[in-house]
Amino acid sequence: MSAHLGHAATAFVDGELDDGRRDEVLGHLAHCMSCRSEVEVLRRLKLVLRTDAPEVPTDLTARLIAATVLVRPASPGPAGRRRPHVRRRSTGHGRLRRTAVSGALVALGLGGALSLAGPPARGPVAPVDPTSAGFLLEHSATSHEVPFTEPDVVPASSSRSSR
Amino acid sequence: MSRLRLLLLVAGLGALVTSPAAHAAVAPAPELDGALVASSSTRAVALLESAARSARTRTWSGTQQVVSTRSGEPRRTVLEIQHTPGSGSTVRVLSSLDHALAPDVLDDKLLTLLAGHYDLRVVAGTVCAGHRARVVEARRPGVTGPAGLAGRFWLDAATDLVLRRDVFDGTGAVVRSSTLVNLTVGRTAPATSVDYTAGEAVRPTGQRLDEEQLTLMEAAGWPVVRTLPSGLELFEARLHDEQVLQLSYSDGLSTLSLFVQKGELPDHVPGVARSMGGGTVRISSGSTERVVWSGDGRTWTLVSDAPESMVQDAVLVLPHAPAAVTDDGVLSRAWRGMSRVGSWLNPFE
Repeated sequence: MSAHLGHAATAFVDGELDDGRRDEVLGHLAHCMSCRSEVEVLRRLKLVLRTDAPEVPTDLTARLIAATVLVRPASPGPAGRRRPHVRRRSTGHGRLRRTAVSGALVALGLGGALSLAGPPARGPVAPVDPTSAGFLLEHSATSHEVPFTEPDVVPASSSRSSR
Repeated sequence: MSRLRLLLLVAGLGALVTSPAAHAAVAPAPELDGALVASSSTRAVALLESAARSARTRTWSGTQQVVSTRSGEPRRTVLEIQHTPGSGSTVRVLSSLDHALAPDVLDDKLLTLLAGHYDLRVVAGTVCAGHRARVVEARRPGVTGPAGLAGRFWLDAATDLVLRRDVFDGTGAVVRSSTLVNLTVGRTAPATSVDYTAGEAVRPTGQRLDEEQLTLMEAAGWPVVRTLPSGLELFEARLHDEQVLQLSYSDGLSTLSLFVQKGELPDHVPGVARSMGGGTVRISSGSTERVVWSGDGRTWTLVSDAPESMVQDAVLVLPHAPAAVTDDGVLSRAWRGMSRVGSWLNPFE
């Protein structure tokens, strides 16, 4: 590596270096006050230029649902437009057929429900995300190690931490 | 900034700058001067006690480089540390504007465990990071040769501050090495005037449990494991929000924290799946190793900087069997199935 980082400082701040190159830069920064200052200035500059994304209203979903409910017809329509209900007289064959169909539907429904239910219910899930970053910090604080790193696999959603 | 946000920030930033690469090899240890120095364990313990005292009472700052090797892969982290007596250390992960506060190092409890588990000797003098230094070795009792070396401390001859610390596994390989590559020392506060409870340093949270409370926890069904293999002893226990029991173990050189909570693992847990102890564990390896698994109706999270063999031995002796599950009957299952269908039809669920 040359005497100072040069363009590598910008790439380092932007996280564009591969592992090997980033490690070389870290090694250089550990010893070079000048480059450390440059990296710090670049970080500050990046922070100033960064703009926050506009916030999405939290009640947007609720408002959309409310709007949908408002435009949905409250009644099936004028009574005069309904077709008159005509009760047909059932025959013996019809009753037998309906009973058979009903029985089949009940069996199908029960079987489907059992199938959907699957095996017995699973036990309750741990209340605190077991990969919580808070655990790492508690470990550091108790063990008196400097809290400097998290295991490489970052939790899928760090916001799941309950503390 | 809330503690939670601070914790997440520090952890996330740490992940960003921890660099796994072959280049991050541990710097060779400085050569020792001449013949070994004959020294008693008492002398070595006195030096380490002085180091702990000095780290607390002096104003000092420096750049620390930490190389941790796991699965044969070294990872380097660079930190800037500024210590103020009574307030702990401000730690800044390089390349970030943010910082966190860390506790004082070389805690007395851990020093007691170190002296109890290892043979301590002052072995030589040398130059480390440009400073004259004395070297204290921690050796495994009864083990000769390179395999007996468990840890080495380089102490600044002028201030007794720890310039470098190496931890070795059972094969004599360095698993963790932290070095102050530069050090600036300021004023020294009188030890009696330092209020260790002041300041904003990161301190453990939760309710600290004494022996009587631990016994009660055990009676209530919580698993309180007093010792783990490789000489790891329980030295502190805490309860967080009445939900998570934290058990902390150490041999004085390495530490291991076990977090136990009721309930099973969530469906999707990050980490590499590996069969261990008759079950499946998820391992995430960085400078610190994290292992999570379900066993005996509980979720276990192990966080440690100990050598991999020590972590593995600890995982193996802890429960992995699934909790006994009983079928809840046809009617109950049918009801659950129909409830599920109902939930599909309910647009508001």
